[in-house]
Amino acid sequence: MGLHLLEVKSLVGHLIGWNTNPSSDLDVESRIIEKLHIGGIEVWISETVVNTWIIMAALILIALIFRIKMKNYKYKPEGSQNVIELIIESMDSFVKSAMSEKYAYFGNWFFGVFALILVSNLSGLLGFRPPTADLCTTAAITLTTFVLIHFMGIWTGKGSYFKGYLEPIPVLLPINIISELATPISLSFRLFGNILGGMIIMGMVYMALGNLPSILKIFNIGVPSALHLYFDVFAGCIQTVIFVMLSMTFIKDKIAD
Amino acid sequence: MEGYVIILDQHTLVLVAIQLINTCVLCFALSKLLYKPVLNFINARKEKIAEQIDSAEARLSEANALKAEYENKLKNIDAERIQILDEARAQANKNSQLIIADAKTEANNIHNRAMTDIKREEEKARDEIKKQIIEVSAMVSGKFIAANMTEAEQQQLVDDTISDLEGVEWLN
Repeated sequence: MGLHLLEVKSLVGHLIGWNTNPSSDLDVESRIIEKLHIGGIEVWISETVVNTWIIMAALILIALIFRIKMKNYKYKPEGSQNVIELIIESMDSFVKSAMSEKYAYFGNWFFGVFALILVSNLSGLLGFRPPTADLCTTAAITLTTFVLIHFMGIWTGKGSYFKGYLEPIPVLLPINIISELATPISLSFRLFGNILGGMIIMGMVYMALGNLPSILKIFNIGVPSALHLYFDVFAGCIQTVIFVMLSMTFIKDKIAD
Repeated sequence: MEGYVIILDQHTLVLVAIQLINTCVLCFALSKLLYKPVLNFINARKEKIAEQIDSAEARLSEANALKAEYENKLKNIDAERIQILDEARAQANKNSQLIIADAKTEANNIHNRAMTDIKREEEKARDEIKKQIIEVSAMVSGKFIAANMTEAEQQQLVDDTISDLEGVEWLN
């Protein structure tokens, strides 16, 4: 079961009345690079996973560099110290504004999530297939949010957490459960859909530009940049903020105090 | 090469599990390496700055109090000066009065003593003169008497004198 490249191509082609042919190079699939068999389970090491590792390595390397530089940090900040302090303080105040001072420790978690999603979304600019354009990635991140929502709900609310499912009237229990399950689904599909959509549109634009008659080749200059600016930079940043903000808000909503 | 856009089978679960581990590892690493240390650093500095501002405010209020005190003192210093001068003058006056009074008393004493001395000297001199007059007159009268008096007359005189002495009390 799965929606595959050709189906996406024909779907998109059908929508815009464009006769796709299978040999065209609209490439939105996450390629499977290696298939491992671990204890009878087939493990796919896909492009998504490899790209995630590359992003993780880059982020951890940057963190290490800043960490080593931190030994020389001064009381009066200068140079790169300002940059890293700005980033960390912004994240801290973002968490504090969304979740209150008491739960500022969530910044430790959401800083990593924010960095991962943002760099993933922006990695399209460097020609990577963004890991966030894969439902597996967004589902994994959303799963952590889902666990945090209900863990914090039970931990802080105790009985009132379960009582909440019977409110305002007990008949609504199934609806309440569905709405709880809808939260992670909407979160993961929002991010996934936005990034995949941007990627598909960019792929189509490149294909269209490649097939332009020579007189119109002038459109090759500037048009992709502007679209990348919108689909990768703008949508990527906005979706990152939305994802993290919504995650924090959902967790805060379930915290009883 | 094989690939997928959306898959919903057992491979999805494995991929989600891998991405879950990746996410957790990344979040843990970034938190340990960067977020927590930098935030601690920033918070420590915040506290230090707050402390410094507090102490600066305390010192400022202290300085203001001192300034007010000194301004007050400066304002009062003229009055104080006049008071001190008045006090000194009064003291000097008193002292001079005392010194003058002392000097007067001393002068009086000296004067009195001198007068007494003078009187005593005068009396002494008078006595001396009397004594000498007596001596001279006795000598002269002795010579004269020796020249002019007979033995009978001499006897007569002695007798008269003795009888006189018997008649009157010795006065001197």
